[in-house]
Amino acid sequence: MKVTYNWLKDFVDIKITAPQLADKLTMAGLEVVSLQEKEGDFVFEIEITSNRPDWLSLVGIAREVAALTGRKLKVPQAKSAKYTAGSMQPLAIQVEDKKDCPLYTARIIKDVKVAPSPVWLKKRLELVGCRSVNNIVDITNYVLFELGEPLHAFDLAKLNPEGVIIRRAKNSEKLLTIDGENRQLNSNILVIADREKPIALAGVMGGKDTEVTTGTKDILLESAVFNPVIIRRARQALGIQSEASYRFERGVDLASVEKASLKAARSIQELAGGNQVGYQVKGVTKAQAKNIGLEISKVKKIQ
Amino acid sequence: MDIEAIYLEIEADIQNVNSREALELFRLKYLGRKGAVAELTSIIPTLSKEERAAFGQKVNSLKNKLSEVVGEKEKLLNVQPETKIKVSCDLGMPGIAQELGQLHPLTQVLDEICAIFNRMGFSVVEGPEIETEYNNFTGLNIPLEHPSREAFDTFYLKDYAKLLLRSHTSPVQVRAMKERKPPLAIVVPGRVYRPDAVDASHSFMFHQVEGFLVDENIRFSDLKGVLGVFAKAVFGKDIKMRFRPHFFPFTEPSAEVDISCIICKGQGCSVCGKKGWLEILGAGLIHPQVFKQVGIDPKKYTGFAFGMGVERIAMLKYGINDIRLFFENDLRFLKQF
Ligand SMILES: [Zn+2]
Repeated sequence: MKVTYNWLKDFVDIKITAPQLADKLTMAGLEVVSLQEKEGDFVFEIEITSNRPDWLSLVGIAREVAALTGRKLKVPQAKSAKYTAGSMQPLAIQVEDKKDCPLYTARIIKDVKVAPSPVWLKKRLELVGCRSVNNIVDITNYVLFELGEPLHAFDLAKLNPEGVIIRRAKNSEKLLTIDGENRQLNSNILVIADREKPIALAGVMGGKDTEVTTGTKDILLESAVFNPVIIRRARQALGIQSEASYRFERGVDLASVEKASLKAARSIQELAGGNQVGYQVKGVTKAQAKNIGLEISKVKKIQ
Repeated sequence: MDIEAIYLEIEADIQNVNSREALELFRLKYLGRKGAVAELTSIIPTLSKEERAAFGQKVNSLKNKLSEVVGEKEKLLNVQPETKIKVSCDLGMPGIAQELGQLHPLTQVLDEICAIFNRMGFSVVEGPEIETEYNNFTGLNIPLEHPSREAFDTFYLKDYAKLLLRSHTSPVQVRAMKERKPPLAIVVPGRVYRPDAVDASHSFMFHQVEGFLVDENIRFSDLKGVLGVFAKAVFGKDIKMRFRPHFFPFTEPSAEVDISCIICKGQGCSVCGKKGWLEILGAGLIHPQVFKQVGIDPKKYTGFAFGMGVERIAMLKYGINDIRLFFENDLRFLKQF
């Protein structure tokens, strides 16, 4: 995964140089495989081991940097979004099997202006290896990299307004994904569908027909958590690897779902305007806290 | 000059030609720039028109005859040495020595690694290259459908769903710990297989040495001590070593172990990617879950395990930059070890 020095500085005061930081990270188990100076910033490419999905975000790495350098982690609280009340019927969300999708949220934002992203946003995304598309798509990607929660924006006008269903695909169904491939689906693959047809491969890739384009006015912003095994199987069966599937396969924090949705909504209002008219939640919003026993005497015994 | 006389002379001369040197002299005498044929040819312009044609033909026949005689003699001389040696065999002469084979560089390095651990009390145990899925994965705390399996792409046997070509030597840990009781100190050399595209640093088949030690009160510092002895024995006394935290499903805590770059002594060069350090192996304390799987009480026993690629060690030790050289078996390469 790639992070940049300046982006990390949004969340933690760093008083050491980029090469010094690279060395500290490497010796803490976040192996920096390359460090490059680019456009006035430094890009760290870090190999993240499969046991640490919490490191698959800027904030996750910044948390580690804060601990390693004895500084405080500064994560701004997501401010609640501005609502225009009562202007729309809430969208129905139906989850066929909550084991496949423990949490699904949909936020509706109307009258956005889709346009190219500002330079700072384009630059940050490009430094971490993500192509700029338009302001809406870029914001969802930006939040993915920052918080580790993959988001997806649908063009609301292009789906059946009755609502969305998170369900297994039928063996006869097909979906044209945003990479232009026509995908043959089967019952092992989880999809987001409207009343008529699949509109996205859940947790892997969106559909072409409902993607946000320059003509889009109203959007449905999805923030959710999917079962890692389902995502892994779909990714293997279809041969698609995406930033989203990479994170869902390893595990995404339930608590980051609403934070990410809010953060994206605020950014969309700032960069593309629009009115929030609804936010729907289906599922559990918090993971159950676990007690983990640790015997200090045993820790000392293995040193 | 009498051509008939030359024919007679040729017949007499060729009888006495018994070596290549003699044949060359013969050729010069008759066919050389100042030889008989050249001399005859030089006469031609002085003859009358009527005589020229007949004489020219005679000279040509002579030339052909000479070429024929020289060719025949040449063939004869080419096969002659053998018959000559048979005739003049000297039984007192030393024989022609057969070239001796030698151990492959990988075998040499493998033996050296095992010998170092032998001296520290480890015994060598081997296991099969065709393994069960359980021993290769599940028994080592690598669950099915888990991202940690990504690191171990594997060849499965076509008609046997649960059998595979082992992707590491660690399954021998499972076998040995089930069969024996602690204390255990074992090293496992062997071939492993992964479906990697072959290039300068990857091969679908390579060698590993796995090692593990299980007893009461085994600590991380024991692991450091044992690996320190190993690294110094292979790479020299001045080598520095460092442990970087890492993740392996079968050890906790886990580490990757680096040595200071043997090329640049830690200054940074192209071999170590300007880092000054070279990764040589992975290691850690055996995960309690692995102990439970093999019926060893994790409350009573602790242990460490490590694994290394033999090709990697050999490449660093001898400064070899392409893994394929080990398997091409070009004698010009093998003879250097
Ligand atoms: Zn070096």
